Amino acid sequence: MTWTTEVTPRHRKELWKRNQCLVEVRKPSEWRHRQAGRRDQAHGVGQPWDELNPESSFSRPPLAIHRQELEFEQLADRWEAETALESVVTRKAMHAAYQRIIGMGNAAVPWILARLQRAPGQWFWALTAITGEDPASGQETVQGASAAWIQWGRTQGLLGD
Amino acid sequence: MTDRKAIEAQLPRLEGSDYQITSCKDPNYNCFAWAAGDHTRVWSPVMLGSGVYWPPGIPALPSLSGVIQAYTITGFEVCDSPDLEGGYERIAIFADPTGEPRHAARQLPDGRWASKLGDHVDIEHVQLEVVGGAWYGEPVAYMKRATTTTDTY
Repeated sequence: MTWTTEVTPRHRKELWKRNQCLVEVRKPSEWRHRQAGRRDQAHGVGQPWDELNPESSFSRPPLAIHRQELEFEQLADRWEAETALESVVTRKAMHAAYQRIIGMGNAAVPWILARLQRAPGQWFWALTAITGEDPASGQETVQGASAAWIQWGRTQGLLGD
Repeated sequence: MTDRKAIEAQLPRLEGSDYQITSCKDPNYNCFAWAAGDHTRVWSPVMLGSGVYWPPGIPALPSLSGVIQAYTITGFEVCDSPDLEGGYERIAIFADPTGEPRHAARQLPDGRWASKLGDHVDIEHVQLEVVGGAWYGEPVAYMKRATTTTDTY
């Protein structure tokens, strides 16, 4: 994620506040059609993210993405800590943090895959629930299923080689 | 928080008891697999897609009878007590108050018990019941098989 607009630290702070506001109170449909004031226009505030960053495939404000990724990492850490001693896979998957990650939808998939790449874990139900895919079908081991999902992620362009 | 503290926070009977951590954390197998001698898979009676194993032909239900059937095909038979008996290895199945199996422990040749704690570590404990409580429930069934039995799963 790269900031390409030229803004002073003061305006960057303002941009931060505005983006936080967008995250908290604005619907996604409003992100692209927000009426910007003249001062905002001079600094790129309020312009669609994809106009400011033509190379980005996202249309959401960058801080919204950053905050959601941070939330994912916090939820994933909490899930791992609170279910570390759990032997029943269904109980692990029913944990509130795991269910919230599933609720994040497609945005969470690359983060889950990256986490799976770092360390094996029972992320397969979440990945299948979100994507509707099961590239690891028939894999009986965690390592085998992890490898299949990581390969799928690379094929989809969600993970680097 | 150390591993021992983290474990004892959820299994408080372990605090002050005689137990040792005998492995690193490993999410590649769980207690149900470990009890049957399988260190390579996560045994789950409810199939949630890929990455888990359940013996074929056994009802995929989170019930005590399903777990007992799964161990039966690996050579175990139901027995009455956890007492050490020459020529046999024993396992104990823990269930919560609803009857759902939550844990399995395996008896060592010297009479102590070994437990794999979820995705976490293996431990060896002198008393079987110290891993019981609110998290894993209590031992509700025991099974044994001759030590010469070859794993068949």
